Amino acid sequence: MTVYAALMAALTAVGALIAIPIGPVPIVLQNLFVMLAGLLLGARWGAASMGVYLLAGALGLPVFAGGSGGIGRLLGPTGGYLVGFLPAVLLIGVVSGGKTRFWMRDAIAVAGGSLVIYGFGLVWLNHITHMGWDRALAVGMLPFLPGDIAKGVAAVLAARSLRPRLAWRGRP
Amino acid sequence: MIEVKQVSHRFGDGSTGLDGISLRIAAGEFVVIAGANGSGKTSLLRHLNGLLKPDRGSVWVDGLDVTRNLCTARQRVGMVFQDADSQIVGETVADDVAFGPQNLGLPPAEIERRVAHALAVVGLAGASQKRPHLLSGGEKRRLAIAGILAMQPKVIAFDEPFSNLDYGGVRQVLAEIVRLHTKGHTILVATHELEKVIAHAGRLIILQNGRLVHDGRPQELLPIVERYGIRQPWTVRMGKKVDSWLN
Amino acid sequence: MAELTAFGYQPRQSFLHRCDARVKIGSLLIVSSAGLYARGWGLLVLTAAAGAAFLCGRQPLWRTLRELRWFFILLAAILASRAIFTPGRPLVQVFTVAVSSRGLVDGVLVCWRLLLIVLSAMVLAATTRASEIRAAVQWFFAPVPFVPEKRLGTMLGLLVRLIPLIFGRISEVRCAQLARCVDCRKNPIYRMRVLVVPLMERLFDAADELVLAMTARAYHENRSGPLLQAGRSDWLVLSAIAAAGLVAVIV
Repeated sequence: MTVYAALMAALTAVGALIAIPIGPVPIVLQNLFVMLAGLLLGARWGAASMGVYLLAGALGLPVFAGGSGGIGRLLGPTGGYLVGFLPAVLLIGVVSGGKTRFWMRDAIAVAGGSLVIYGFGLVWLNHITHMGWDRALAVGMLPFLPGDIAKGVAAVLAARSLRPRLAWRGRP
Repeated sequence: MIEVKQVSHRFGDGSTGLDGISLRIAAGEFVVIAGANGSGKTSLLRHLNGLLKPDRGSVWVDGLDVTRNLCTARQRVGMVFQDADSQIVGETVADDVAFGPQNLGLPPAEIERRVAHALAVVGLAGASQKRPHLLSGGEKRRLAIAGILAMQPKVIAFDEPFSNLDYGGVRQVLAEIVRLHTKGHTILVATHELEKVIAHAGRLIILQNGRLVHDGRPQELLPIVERYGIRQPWTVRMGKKVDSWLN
Repeated sequence: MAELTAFGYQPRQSFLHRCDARVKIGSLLIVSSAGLYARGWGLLVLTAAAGAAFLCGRQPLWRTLRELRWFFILLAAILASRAIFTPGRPLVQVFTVAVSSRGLVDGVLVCWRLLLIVLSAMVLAATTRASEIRAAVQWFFAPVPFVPEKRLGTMLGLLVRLIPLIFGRISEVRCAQLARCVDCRKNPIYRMRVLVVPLMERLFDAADELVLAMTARAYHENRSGPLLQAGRSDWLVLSAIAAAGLVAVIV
């Protein structure tokens, strides 16, 4: 599991670093991997992977979008979104976890997780820029909403295909 | 039908991939492209269906410029990758073969017909509902071939088709390649292991450091291949004719 | 991508390169937290300290600035937003957009703080090897309960190791799918799913293999890491930075 958690952290980093030309505009897959971390690893290991990712970023490894910057990026205007990954993955893990796998639960978990990310992101964005809630919403949430809904659906579908493979491997 | 005109390509890190390559391949040929690691075999194949774009020069398939007709080029020139695992998309064998035709936007009945046919051709008809990851190495490679066949390409390019296969796997894949050739497909095989395939080829192209250094009949070129970091088939070393691995 | 695998580390001979990673991380934490509270003169003190470190680490200024180009856009956005949306006596008024003096001062201050912290973090990244950072992290987390610090170190190491691997796999899978005309499909959800599922299956395979390879080389968590040594000069640096931080907060 340690390796899988490190793998999800690395995927989150890669997701921030490259945009893949899918659909009308290139899509940054970072949120998708964050959601998958929660769905596939569960609350505990998912949170561990995000913690490692944030720690690596804070210490200056260039794992955040748009180059390096270390702890300054977490304190910068977009830092709230990054910090929000941690509670979001916890929530996704808790809500989607449990004995019965049901796609509705995954969907609710992913939606909730995304809202947590936006919540943290917007609060911090507003705090840093003093732009006011309505403007923060217009700049920091609405443009990304369609993409995130698509990523959420893709994450739920992908988790459904990947889970049997993970279970089949057992848990090292 | 394939025409490569003065193609040069540099990678992002500045190293040279291809350096002024020109060649013409007619329909129905069986061509082996040989060279040491890093000589440009994979880069050359990837130019034929537009996965890489030339920095200079142009590539034409059936008179169409590849960079302007990507979808057509990719349908006409099918490519089987070195690592079959990275090519497998579907959750069952049949799903995976359907991936290409679905992308082409064909009607479902046609897709089903093509999938059944492609699987029958490579001898995997019985495995259509299996999970691809449970197949053996040779079977995976044949599945990758079926996935390409379902798109009905005229040309099929194989990138190191024998790597990581056991003897049985090599024979399965080789038999498949030879059968496809007799059915009229143009075959390109990029490899550094001449011994396994050269007996069936009608033409041998040797690359070195991104340049085309020799292009001719295998019998003429085999005596000198070791100069270019390619192992000579042992029968040639012994002074005999090359022997097929299928015998 | 080659830049990435190097992780910003610039091998050079300098005082800062030889400095203990723990001291450098500690200094960064001090500068960051002091920078958040400091105003005016305090910030100037901290900037002087960071600038000294920058010169001491012999970093190429131009390259650093280029690396930060996106960050400057963000900073400009903050400055504009602060200047426009902070209520106060208008300094300049263009149609309905008024720039208040308080907002402008506030904006400059916020941008200055962020730039200061980012630059200090970049000095750390440029002068410290990933393995040293890892060792320092293990040392910092050793007294913290419920955090298995050795495992944390391992995960950081794996993170660094896996990123180039993932880049390679993504381009392989994408190439194989492009060869089968995936770009004829326009549905982004389908495209993402089709890319992510095989990619992750392969990556899980690779992770399993990595575990095997590590085990085969007798990996275990109680292994010897790089040696961390804090000499007298290291303590001097730390106390100087701490003093600067204190001064900055008080002033």
